[in-house]
Amino acid sequence: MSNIILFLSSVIALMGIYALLTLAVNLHYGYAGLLSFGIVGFAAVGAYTYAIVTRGAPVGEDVYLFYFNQPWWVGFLAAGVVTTLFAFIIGLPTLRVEGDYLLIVTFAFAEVIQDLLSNEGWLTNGTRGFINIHLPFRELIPGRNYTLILAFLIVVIVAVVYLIAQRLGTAPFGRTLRAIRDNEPAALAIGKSVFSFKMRVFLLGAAICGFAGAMYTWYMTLAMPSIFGMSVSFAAWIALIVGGQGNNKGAIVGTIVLLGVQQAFKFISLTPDMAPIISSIQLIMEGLVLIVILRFWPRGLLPEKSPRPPKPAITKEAI
Amino acid sequence: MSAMLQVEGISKYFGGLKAVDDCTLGVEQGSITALIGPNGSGKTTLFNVVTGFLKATKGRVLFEGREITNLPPHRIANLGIARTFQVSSLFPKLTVWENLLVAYPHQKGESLWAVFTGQGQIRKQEEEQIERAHRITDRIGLAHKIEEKAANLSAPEARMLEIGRQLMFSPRLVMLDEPSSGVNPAMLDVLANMIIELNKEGMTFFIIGHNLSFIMKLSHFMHVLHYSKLIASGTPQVVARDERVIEAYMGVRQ
Amino acid sequence: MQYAVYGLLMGCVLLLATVGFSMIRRVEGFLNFAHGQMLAVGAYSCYAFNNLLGWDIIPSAIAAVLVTAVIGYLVAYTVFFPLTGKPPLLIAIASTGASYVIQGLIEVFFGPNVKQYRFPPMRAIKIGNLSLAGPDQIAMVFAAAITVLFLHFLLTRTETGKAIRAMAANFNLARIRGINTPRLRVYIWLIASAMGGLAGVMIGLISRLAPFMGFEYITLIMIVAILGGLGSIYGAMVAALIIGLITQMSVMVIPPQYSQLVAFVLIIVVLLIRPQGIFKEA
Repeated sequence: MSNIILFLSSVIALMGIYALLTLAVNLHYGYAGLLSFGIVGFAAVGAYTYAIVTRGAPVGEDVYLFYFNQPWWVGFLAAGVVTTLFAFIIGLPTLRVEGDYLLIVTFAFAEVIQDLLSNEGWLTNGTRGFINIHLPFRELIPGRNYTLILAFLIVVIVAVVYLIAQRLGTAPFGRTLRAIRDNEPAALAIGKSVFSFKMRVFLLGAAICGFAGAMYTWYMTLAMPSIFGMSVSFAAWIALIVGGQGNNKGAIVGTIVLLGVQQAFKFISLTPDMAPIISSIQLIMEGLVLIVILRFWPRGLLPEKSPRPPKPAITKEAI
Repeated sequence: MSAMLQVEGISKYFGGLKAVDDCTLGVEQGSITALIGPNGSGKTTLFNVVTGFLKATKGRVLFEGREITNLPPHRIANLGIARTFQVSSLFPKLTVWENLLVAYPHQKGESLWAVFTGQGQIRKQEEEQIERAHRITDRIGLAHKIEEKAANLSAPEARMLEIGRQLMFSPRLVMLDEPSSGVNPAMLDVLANMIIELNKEGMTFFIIGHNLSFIMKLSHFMHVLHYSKLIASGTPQVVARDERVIEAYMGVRQ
Repeated sequence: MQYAVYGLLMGCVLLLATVGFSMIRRVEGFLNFAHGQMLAVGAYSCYAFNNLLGWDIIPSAIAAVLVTAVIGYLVAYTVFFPLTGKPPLLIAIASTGASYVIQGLIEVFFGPNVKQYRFPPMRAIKIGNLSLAGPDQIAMVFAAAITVLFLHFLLTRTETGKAIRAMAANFNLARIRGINTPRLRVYIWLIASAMGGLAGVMIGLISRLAPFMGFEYITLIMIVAILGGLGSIYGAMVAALIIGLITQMSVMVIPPQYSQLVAFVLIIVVLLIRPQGIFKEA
């Protein structure tokens, strides 16, 4: 019995991490219309920052340049901060260009990050990455039950981020963002500093990805370049589209559905030699399912509803 | 002569194409000034240069004595100049209500920080603005449609909403690009009266017009552009009799 | 010097791949992530003909190009055509789905390991002390050049080509004017996919095959596309050669793993100066 609970906790933990990524995509695209395809790049930066800040000197054959040996919460905060910095640098030139250009540049950014992490053996231990990640509260809960705590922690963080995103969405901030998304010149014409809005949303989304990256290292207990590939960015987008773009509930629902399907596939992997074939078939099925959903349910499971406009608090007296 | 809006020698070239050529004109405070001319004469381009959406190739623009040439469009807007676009200036997926509320200046709720720490202040500001928005929807006749998405409005309703939004924004100079397009003749009078009312209340208008009868009734003063150059300026009566203007418009039926 | 040659080869590959990508972007209006898979399909088809069926390299290559053209069109027919009119982002995401399917199928049929053609590497031709390039590589450049000339001829001299350009400029207007847009659409997909297939065949010659190669190259293709100005075919050509040369020749100064980084920095710089890319979106 407890095995099942542990397994479910692990699944929930992973879903939580991906949910954060999807929420970030919703902030970027659903709220601000930014085609941000470099989500995994920010996660990678966050993950590696966490790993670097929390670890000690290299041992054995490991080679890396920086290490700060700090407690986990310092690493966690650092993950957010450093990622935001990266996002700022990337955002400065790219947020001024539109649509497809932004898509390609953010996509390329994530690829470059993954490349750098793989190749800079002297900096970040190359393709081997960092193992033995320092986990929060690990000393308090040795043993396998830790997964439960991790899942709980992650769910709490997801809830917090969800509430933040919702609050921003219903505030004037969210309203102006949607206006910018709808008709950028008109927004400029009423004095909105469009670039500032886009940048703030971009940074916020990136920070969330950075935190998610750090949490990913908790889940995997390691950080290596190969887990930060473009399929992660795609997964976040697919989850958003499937769940219903533009709304946070949809983001979470979509993530649960997508990962649920993926995990179900993992279950089917019966014998070790079947594993490669199964993973290929899984790839095919994912692609097919995505194509079918886009064809027949393009608005997703929970299509965006306009937030109800604030009911006039002062109801007009009868004319 | 210090007009509220002073355009001095503005030229805008696109490569070899002269969209606006050495244009000097002024818009007096408190007036309704029109900018007319046949299609392609550069009117919208001039608007775009004045409001910062395009960079001027040559020349200066001054607003209330202060140079605003080539400032970014949102800065120019915040100085008190509003403008509409020939295509819709509305936010289609936002409701009428939101289209209005999004427009009041200096929204505390737009700051990330304030959204989490200053909820009370934001709410107070929003409530005040909601009051204003109510009065405006009554005035523009859209009180019954406040929850309708802007995309679903009819053309005259959309135009009225655009004007309503200017009210929320409370600019000093309103630049309208073809406000009469898509509006049927019956509604044109309503629109014109609205502009006149607002003008009496202190708003200066600078209007690009294609519908000559509409614009001539409305404006105190006119500038005429033809093939990127300013060819005439004056009151509607004077301009209507100007030979060059008649020549320019010959063959162009309204 | 070797680097220059390799740069030219890479440039040719990118040229063929990106021109097709740009054509699709121009006419269909979306970023086709699955275009990278056309390279993979081309390479693996050539492998199938060459290694599995035992054909010579040239017939294999030709057959591979034809097969890729057909497969590319089929993918478009089943996945993209039904989505016509939907937002481009949606179609782009659908193309990632298509990419997964294609890669999965390649993995199933060919296995996950790296492969090579059954084709002996040829001796480079020497001029004095410099070894320039093997005849096979020269043939590749030749093939690319011929393709470019053919395309140019097609687009500027023939009725079909002019119709394609009209379609690219304004789809609805072209349709109203009586241009047979459905048929031309087919041609465009066939040509773009064929070019992608040829690029893939070439990659197989100068490098190696792997199931993920479709995704491996799509990033570079998109970078080249931006540099050339999205949708501009000639821009894509110039940008491809530039990127090919720069990324390979920068190896002289910077270690080779950085070639993608170099390309990335290049587009950031270009975007800062000229947001539309080198050529305006014509």
